[in-house]
Amino acid sequence: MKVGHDTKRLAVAGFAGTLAAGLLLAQPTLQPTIFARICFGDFVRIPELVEIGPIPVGCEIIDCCPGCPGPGPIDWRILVAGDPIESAVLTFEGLAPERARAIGIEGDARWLEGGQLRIGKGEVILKGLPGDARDRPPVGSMRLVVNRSLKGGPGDSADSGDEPPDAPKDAGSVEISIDQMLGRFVVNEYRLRYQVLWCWPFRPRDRIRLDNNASSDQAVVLLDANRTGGCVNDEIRRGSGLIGVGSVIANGTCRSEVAVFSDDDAMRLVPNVNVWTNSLGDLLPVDLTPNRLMAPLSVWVTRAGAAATAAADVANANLLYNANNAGIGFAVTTQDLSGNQNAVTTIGTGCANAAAVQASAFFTPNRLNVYYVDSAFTGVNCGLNRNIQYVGTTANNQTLAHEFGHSFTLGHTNGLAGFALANVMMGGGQNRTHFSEGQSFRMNANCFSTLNGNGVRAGPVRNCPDSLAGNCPAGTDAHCPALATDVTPK
Amino acid sequence: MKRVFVPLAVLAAVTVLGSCRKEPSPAAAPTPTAESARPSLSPEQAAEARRIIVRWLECEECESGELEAVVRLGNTAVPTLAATLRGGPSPASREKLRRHLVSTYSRLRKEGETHREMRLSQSEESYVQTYMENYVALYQVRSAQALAAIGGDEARKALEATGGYTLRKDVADAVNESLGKMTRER
Repeated sequence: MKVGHDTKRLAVAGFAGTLAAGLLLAQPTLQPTIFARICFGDFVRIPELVEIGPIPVGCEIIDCCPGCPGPGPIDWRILVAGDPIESAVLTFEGLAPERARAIGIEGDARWLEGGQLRIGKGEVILKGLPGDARDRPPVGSMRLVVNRSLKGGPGDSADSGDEPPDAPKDAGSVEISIDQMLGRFVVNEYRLRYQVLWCWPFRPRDRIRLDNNASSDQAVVLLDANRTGGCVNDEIRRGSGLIGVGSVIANGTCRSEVAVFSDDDAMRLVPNVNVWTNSLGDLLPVDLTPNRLMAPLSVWVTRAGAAATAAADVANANLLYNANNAGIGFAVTTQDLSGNQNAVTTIGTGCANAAAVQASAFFTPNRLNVYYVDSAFTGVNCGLNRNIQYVGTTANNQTLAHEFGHSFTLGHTNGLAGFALANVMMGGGQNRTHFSEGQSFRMNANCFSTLNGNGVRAGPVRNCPDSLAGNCPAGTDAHCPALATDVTPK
Repeated sequence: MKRVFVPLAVLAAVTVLGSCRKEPSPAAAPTPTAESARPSLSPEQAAEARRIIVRWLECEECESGELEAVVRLGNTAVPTLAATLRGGPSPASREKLRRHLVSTYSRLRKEGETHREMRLSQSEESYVQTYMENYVALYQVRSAQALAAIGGDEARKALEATGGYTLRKDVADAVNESLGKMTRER
């Protein structure tokens, strides 16, 4: 089949199967700042995927590192690697032209017009960036230049078969690393890793039809089914309405189910699909009603002045859960109890008070309860009752969303393959914006998620491994997509 | 190890003025005491020590041994923690967060047009300032806690040196608590 390079996202083939170790770069010691598996067509077409940064010039911590020499110029050691790109273009904002001209360059890099620096593949060192900023330092941003002549995908001569492959093919990895150096000392680090895939649009021989897609977004479909080649698990398709899935045959002994993730819609898990036959033209309609599940949330404020921060935190939690297709929102009611000494005492400042709290008038059963308290910590979800979370004075704007993730059964992603520092469930950080589809599945489907426990969600449940401890009825299905199953862009 | 008695006046000197903050410059240099005690590490050791310290400074629930790892660094970490207690995050880290907050605010404003539950009542300036101040306080609180956990004269001096600054109430409380803990454990 010949398909142009402008592959539509009508049906992006699944790539869960390509998690095979052979397709991945060796795991670096450091968890990447950004990690994604993306289709080459998206890489070519979507500007956000090739824009990297911002990366401020300077040390990660204020004295640069234990044992570092005193203040001095910063060097950038840049590595640009991977077949799917030709080069990168680096721009510094806030760097005076005379300072830019004074930068020493080692390796394949040259200045272009407009203060842009073209960085070739391999290692490049920029010497002498200002390391003495006392306020706003210069900030680097990088644009990847895609290798449009890369061979092996849709439209190439090799792609002459009648059917696209069942799964995408590896198109290579992209790796960008920027080590900021003070002399011989690395004082700040940035790592980006993309696994780039050739994705073929599937012919609409058999189809899934999404009804009532609230925002008509490019929903994500995970498909378990039977093909002529055997059972397939968590093949990924995308589309807003009618989605071709190629030829799916009668279930046989294969599991047959579909999970759909979409902005502004609740996650839909459709088990035991029985529409597939050995003939072409089968259709599975999936109704995305209802729209997002709005988890009821009571915010109790015992720290004077914290109500506005609580409102902003809830707004950002709503944004993060919706933008990542989790299908979950938060409907909040807030009570300011900062003048109520009984409330301040009963609620306390952490989970040590959880038992007293849940027996008090300052707790509403069967909904999320958050306590904004006057104590110097970030946030915590209480194991005694996962409907209870506390937020302290040093929280950031992702802390509340993170604690809700625990309430919905997610654990931390520190050190896990397939997760970057940008994941909301990293156990720390200031720039966390991402949930994987594997995480969204667990938050919705795990039987001990408070979404199910509180009666917010009614639907098939699972007992996924690699979640926080929780009790499910004996025999609860443990079949779940891999935690790291993820689709970019959202 | 030499033990130094700290008079109560030192604890009281950690002034608390919640509404009138005079926080140190983000790029304030480490104290001379800390500077003079800078450890000698290989580049690899220094990078790993930095990562360990940052993991503690930024952890959420901190239940994966983040503080214990800093304590294992011992006096190696003290000059860095002293500098962070005084000055908070680095200019580069502050700028990274500031841009993240500006970007988030912009997205919330846009999404808030169609999603009522994402609407903000705060100005961008107020939104950014709130979380930037929390970021500074987080670094200072965690530095104080780590210094107390490491213990020793240099750590105590670093905590006592904050007496010359006006700190946010939660930071001042953390410093007082840390000094009290060190005194109790003498």
